Amino acid sequence: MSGAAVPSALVRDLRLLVVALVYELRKVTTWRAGFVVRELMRGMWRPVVMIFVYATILVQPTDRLGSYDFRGLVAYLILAASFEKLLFHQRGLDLSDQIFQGYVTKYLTMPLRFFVLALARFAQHVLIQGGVVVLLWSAGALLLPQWWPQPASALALVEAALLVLLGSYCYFLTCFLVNALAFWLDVVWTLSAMTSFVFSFCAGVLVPVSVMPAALRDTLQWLFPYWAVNAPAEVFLGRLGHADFLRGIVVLGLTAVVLELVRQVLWRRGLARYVGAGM
Amino acid sequence: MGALLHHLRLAREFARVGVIRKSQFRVEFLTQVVMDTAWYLVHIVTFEILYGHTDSIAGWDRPQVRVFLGFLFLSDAFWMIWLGQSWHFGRELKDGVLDSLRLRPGSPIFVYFFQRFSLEACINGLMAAGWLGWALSGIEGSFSVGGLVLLLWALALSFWTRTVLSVLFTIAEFRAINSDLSNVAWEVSMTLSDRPVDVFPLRFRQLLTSFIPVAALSTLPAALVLGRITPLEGVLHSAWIFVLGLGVFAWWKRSFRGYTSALG
Amino acid sequence: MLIRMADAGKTFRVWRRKEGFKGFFANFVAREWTQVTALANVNLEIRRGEFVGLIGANGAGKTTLIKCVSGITPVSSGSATLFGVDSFALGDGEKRRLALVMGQRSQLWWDLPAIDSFRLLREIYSIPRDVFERRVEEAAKRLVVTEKLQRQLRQLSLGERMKMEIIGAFLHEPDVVFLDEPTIGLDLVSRETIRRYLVELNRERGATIVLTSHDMEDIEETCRRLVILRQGRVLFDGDLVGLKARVYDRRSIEVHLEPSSRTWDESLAPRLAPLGATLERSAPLTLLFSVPAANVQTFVPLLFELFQIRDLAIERHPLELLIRQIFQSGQAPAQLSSGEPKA
Repeated sequence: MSGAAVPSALVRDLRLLVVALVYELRKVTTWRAGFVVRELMRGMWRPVVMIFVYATILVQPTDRLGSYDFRGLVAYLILAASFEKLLFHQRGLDLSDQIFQGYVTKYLTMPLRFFVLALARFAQHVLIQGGVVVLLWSAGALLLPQWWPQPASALALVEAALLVLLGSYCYFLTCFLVNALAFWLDVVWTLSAMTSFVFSFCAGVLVPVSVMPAALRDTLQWLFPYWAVNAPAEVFLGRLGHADFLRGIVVLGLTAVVLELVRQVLWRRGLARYVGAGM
Repeated sequence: MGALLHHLRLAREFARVGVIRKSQFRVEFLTQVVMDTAWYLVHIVTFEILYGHTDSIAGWDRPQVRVFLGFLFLSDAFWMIWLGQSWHFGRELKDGVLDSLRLRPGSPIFVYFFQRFSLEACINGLMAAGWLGWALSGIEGSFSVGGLVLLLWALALSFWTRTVLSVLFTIAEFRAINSDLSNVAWEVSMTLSDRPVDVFPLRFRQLLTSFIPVAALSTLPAALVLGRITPLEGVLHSAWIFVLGLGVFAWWKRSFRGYTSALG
Repeated sequence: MLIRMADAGKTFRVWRRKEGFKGFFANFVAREWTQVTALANVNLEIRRGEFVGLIGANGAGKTTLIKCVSGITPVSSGSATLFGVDSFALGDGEKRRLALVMGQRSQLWWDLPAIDSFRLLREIYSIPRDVFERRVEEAAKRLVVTEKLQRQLRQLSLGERMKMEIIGAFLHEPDVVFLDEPTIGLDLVSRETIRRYLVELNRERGATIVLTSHDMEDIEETCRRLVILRQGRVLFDGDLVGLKARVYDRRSIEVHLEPSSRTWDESLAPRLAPLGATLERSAPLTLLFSVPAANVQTFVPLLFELFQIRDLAIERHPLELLIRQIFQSGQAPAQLSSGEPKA
C-alpha cells in the first residue's frame, strides 16, 4: 500500500502546537482593550502598593527589613512583579468551563492530543508576556535607571529566566490539574482562585521569603513557587548563587515530573468518568 | 416606600434561591469557605510578618491593623454574599444576557447585581465578624452604645461603598466590551484597599477617599471606630459617598441605555 | 394599536478579521469594520389580540425586529412603539404587560427547579400568591409538566424546558408575548402541545402573540397573519388564510420511477409548460412536480406517457414550498407567477 507517510506523533503534536498557537495569538488580540487590560496591566498593582507599604516602614535610609533596605526591596518587587507576569495565569485556561459545557467531547473524536491545545495556551502566554515584560523592562530602565534592578551577570540573567520558565510550566500544570477536577466537581473556580493567591504568598511576590520567620522560610524553600519567583529574583540580583540555581532546577524538574504524572492519571480517569457519564 | 418593600421582598427571594442553589452544590459551598479562609490567612500572616519587623505601618499599630483587617474581611464577605454577580458582568454584557433586564420591571441595578446570593459567604461573614470582634476587644476602651452605633455606621459605610464601586466599575465595560476592565478595576481597587490608605502619598490618598472611594471599604470605617477620624469627618465622608453613589447609579442607568444586546 | 414600527431601521457594526499570522497583527493595529443592516424601513402595525407569525431565512432580521419592538435595543432610524410608548423607553407599567421567550436562550435560572424560578418571577411581577399558584397549577397541567416543576431546569429535556419558559412568560398574564423560535429542536408531541397552548391563550385571554419560527407547521397552526422578512425588509404582510388559499390552488405530485427507466431531462420541460407544471425537486428516482389543481387530470396521464412510474402521490401544495420560493426569489407572493420555474 502506498501513500503519504503518516507523520510521527511528535511531529503531529508540534504541527498542531504551531497552528493552535497562531489561533491563540489571534484570539487574545481580538478585543484590543481587553488585551491591554488583561495582558499588559495584569499583576502590576500589588507590588506597586507594597512599595508604598515598605516606604512607610523603612523611613530612614539606614532602616532594614531582614537583609533588605528600601532600594533593595523596590528592586525585588519590580523583579517579582515581572516574574509573576511571566508565570502562567490561572484565568488563561478555561478547561473547567470546557468540561462543564461538554466541549471537550468533540476533541475526543479527533486524532489529536487535547493537552497539546492547552500547551498552545501556555506557549501563547509565554510569548505575549515575554514581550510585555521586555517592553516594560526597557521602559523602566530608561525612565528610572537609578531604581531599576540590573542583573548581577549575564549568567544570572539566564539562570533566572530558566527558573521562571520552568516554574511557569509547573504552575501551568498545577492549573491544568485544578481545572481537570471539573470532571468530579461542580465548581472549580474557587480552587483556582485559592491556588493563585496561596501561590503568590508562597512565591514571595509581596514579601520576600527571606524576611519571613525561619520555620516558614525553610518550608517554602522546598516548594516550587519559591523557585518560580523569589529565587529567580534573588539569583538575578546576585543574592543567590549558582548552587542555589542548580537546587532550584532540581526542585522544579522533580515537581514538573510529578505534576505531569498526576496530570496524566487524572486526565485519563476524568475522561473515563466523562464518557462513562454519557456526555 | 412601596418600591423599597418590593425590593426587600426581591432580596429575600434572591436569598431563598441562593440557598436552594447551594444545597445542590455542596462541594462548591465547602471550597468557597476554604478559599476565603485562605485569603484571610494570607492577609493576616502578611501583616504579622511585617509587624515582626516594625511597630507601625503608616501610623497604624498591630492591634489597629487587626481592626482594619476585620472591616476588610467583612466588607469582602458582604460583596461575596450579595454582589458576586458583578464579576460576570463583562461576559454577560458581551453575550447579550442582559436582555431580560430590559424587559422586567424593577430597578435593573438591583435586579442584576443582587441576584446571586451566596450562602457560603455568610459563613465567611461570620468568621470575619468574629475576627473583627476579637480585634476590637484588643483595643483599649470599654464597650458602649455609642461605640456600637459607630460600628454599625462604619459597616453601613463599607457595604454601601462596596455596592457603589461594584456598579461604578462595570460602567467601563459598556464603553469597552469584553475588556475585563471592570474586573481589573475591581482587582486594583481591592489591592489598594488591602492596606490602610495612609501608606500612599497625599494626592493619591485624596483620590481614594473621594472619587474612587476605596478608602471607605476598610480604612475609613476602621478609622471611625478607632477614633482616628472624628464623627464629623465620618459624617462628611459618608454624605459624600452617599451622593457619589446616587450619581454612579444614575450614570450606570444611562450607560445601560446604550446596551445593544448581542447584536454589535 | 399595540405595536407600531414606522420606517424602523437597525444597523450595527461588525469587525472584519483578517486571517493567519499576518492577520493577527493587522487586526490588532488597524481593524476594519463594516456596517450591517439588520432592519430597513420596516412598517408594521399589530393590533390587540392578533397572533402574528414572523418568518424569514436565517439572518432575515426576525430576532432583531423582536428585540427592537420589545425594547431590548433601540432602532437606529424610524420609530418603534409598544403600548403607544417608545419601545426603548418602557416604564415598569408597560414591562408588566410584556413577555419574551427566546428558544435559544433561557430566561429562567439554569440551576433552579422551575418552580423556584417562577416564585422569583412572582416577586418581580408582584403577583398575588393565590393567583400565582392557580396559574402555575393550571399552566403546568395544560402543558403536562406538573411532575417536573420541582426538577432543576438543567435536568429537564429541551421540550420540558421550553414549556417551563412559556409558563414563566405567561405567569403575569402579559398583553403582548414575543416568542422567538420557541419550538426549535422539539419533538412532534411537544411542538403540538405548545402550539395548542398558545392558541388557547390567545383565544381565551386575548393576548397578542408574535411568533417567529422556521417550522411552517407552527405558523400554519397558530397564526392568522403572516409577516415575511427578507434581508431586513418586510416582503409580505398579510392574511395567512389568503396565502393558503393561493397555494391550495396547486397540487404537489411526487413520482417514484422504476429503476433503470428514463428520468428527468431538460428537453421535457416544454411538454410541461402548457399545463403550468413545474419541477420542484429532482432525485435519481424521485421527481416532485407542482401543478395547478385544475390541470391534474391532464397532467397525470402525461406523466405515465413520459416515464415508467412505480408509484405516484398527489397532495395539496404545502405552504412551505411557496415560502421557500419566496425566500429564494425575494419576491412577494403577489409577484410570483404560479408556474414560475425554480431558480
